[in-house]
Amino acid sequence: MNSAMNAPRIHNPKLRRLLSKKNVTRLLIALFRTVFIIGICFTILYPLLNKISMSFMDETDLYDRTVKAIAKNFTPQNYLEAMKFIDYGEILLNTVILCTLVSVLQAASCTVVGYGFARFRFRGRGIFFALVILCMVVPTQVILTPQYLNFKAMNMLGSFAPFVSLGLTAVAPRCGLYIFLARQFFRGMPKEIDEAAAIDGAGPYKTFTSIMLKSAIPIMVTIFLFSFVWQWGENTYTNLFYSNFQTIAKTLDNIGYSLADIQLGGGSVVSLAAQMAYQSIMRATSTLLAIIPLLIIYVFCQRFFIQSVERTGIVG
Amino acid sequence: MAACGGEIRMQRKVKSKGPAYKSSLMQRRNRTGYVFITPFLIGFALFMFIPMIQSFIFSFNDIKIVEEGYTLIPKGLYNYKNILMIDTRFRQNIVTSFGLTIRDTLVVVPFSFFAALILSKEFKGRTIARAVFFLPVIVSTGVLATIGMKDSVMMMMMSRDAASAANSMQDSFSASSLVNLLFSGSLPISMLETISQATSGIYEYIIKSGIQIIIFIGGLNTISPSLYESSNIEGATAWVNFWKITFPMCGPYILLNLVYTIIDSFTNLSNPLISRIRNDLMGLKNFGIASAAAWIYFIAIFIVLGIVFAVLQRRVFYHE
Repeated sequence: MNSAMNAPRIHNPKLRRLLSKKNVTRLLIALFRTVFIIGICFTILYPLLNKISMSFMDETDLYDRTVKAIAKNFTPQNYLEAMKFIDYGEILLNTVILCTLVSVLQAASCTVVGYGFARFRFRGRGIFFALVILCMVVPTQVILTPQYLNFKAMNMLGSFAPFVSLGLTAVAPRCGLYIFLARQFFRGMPKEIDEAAAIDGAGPYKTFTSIMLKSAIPIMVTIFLFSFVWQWGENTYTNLFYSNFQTIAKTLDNIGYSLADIQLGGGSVVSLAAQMAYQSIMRATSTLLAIIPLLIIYVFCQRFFIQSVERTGIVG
Repeated sequence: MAACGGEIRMQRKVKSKGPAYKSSLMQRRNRTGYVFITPFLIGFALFMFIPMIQSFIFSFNDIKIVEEGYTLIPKGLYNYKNILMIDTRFRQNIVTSFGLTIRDTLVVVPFSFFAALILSKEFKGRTIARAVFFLPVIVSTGVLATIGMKDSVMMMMMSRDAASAANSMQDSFSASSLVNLLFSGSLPISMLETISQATSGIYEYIIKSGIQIIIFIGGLNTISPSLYESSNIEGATAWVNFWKITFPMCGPYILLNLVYTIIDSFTNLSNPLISRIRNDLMGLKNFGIASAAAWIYFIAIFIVLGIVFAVLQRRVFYHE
């Protein structure tokens, strides 16, 4: 105690300098970190905020040099128009149905398969897991054509059947990644759980359903979220397998053309500019309408998502 | 793959110490693993393996879509010859896509490592910062990601075509206006252009780095704090800690992210080759040539990944 009190007094100037130097470094690091984080956050949010501010603008606000971010003629009219223009109610319902179906199936199948790879040592496990990696590496373009033709031959096109069969068997695009994540998650669980369950008389299935599944909720939510979000923006597969099913992604993919169709009546330069302004507003508003459901889901799932990010130590 | 060590060791212990019947019990239990992976095995056989073989056959044929399915017209090596010898676009595209991949990998992996380092430390508002960083993963997927780009293209077109009327609008909404605003007058125009290109590039790269940041944060969390504690007691500085502990312990994740970024970049829709193959397939034409192109491309990816693995696998430190 005594020496501890003496020590600072003796080396006081030196210690103080050291301390201040340390403090300065710490301060600089904190400053740099803050600038970096705020900068990146700004870059991420800027286009979004931009679209939001645009979506509430009247057309005249766009040419008005005095209007920068906040609309002078604040109007929700764009949302109503865009909703009507892209048939929001119908495509939203369609997209939600398709995405929920696909992601529930994928979350279930990938969790089960990942559990199998993580907790059992069976013959050929390494080879089978190499097949999972292969699924991740093969470009979808290689298998898309035959898949399309096979589904066509089986008369499964134009329905949910292709999506169900791909999701249920965990070979839909990006399922390799999900199996990988699930396997990693289950591998982190202590072996003693299995042993304790076995002593209590639970078989491998019982152990899985009544013990493991409860703690696997974060990873299942994460897979669900990934898969939902990916399906939300996905158009290639939907277009090939269920071509007359209108989803949000499909509508947005073609929005340039459908907006161009509207404005063909114009003639003079001024009206061309006006139409382009209108197009921009419509595009921004429609994009926002497409993203809003995802944002709502993200707000709810974010907790699980971060949790499983923390717990998933993914090792190649 | 490398992390199986602990399990294998446990297995052996059971085998050597326990009586014979115990290991057969373990074996029986382990056999139920097949049941769990059955869905994948069925799916792989039906929807991956068979299509891959079909696609390989297609690449030597020309495909005609008829009422009931399709017919094959044998072409031998024509498709491959056509792509490699006759079609100049393919060679151009493949060079472009290699260039893009190298650029992406060199930017994305260091950036995401850096971002993960920062995000894994405690600080005020970390939850919000993380939520924002992961936002692109959620919001910018597939079609949604390309919308922003299309918009900026349109803006550029607009500023050219309907210059006078729409100029003010372009001014207030493009990111480059910010750069112009900040540095106008003090810097030459060529430098301004570079800066504004870089700023729009930053957004693109942040979007591409989402999953990689997640993987790195997961990896950083697996490093035991006791390592840092003991090295701090030995008097190591933060700088030394980083190079002696953090960096080597993240080796496997760096390798994983390299592989992931390479695959992601190679199979991205903005890749000229992929979009070309996709357009052929979507238009239900040139199936044979598209299949051949996809296979050449697939083999190219495989070779690149093989080289990356061969070079790095030995240098990566596995803590097992």
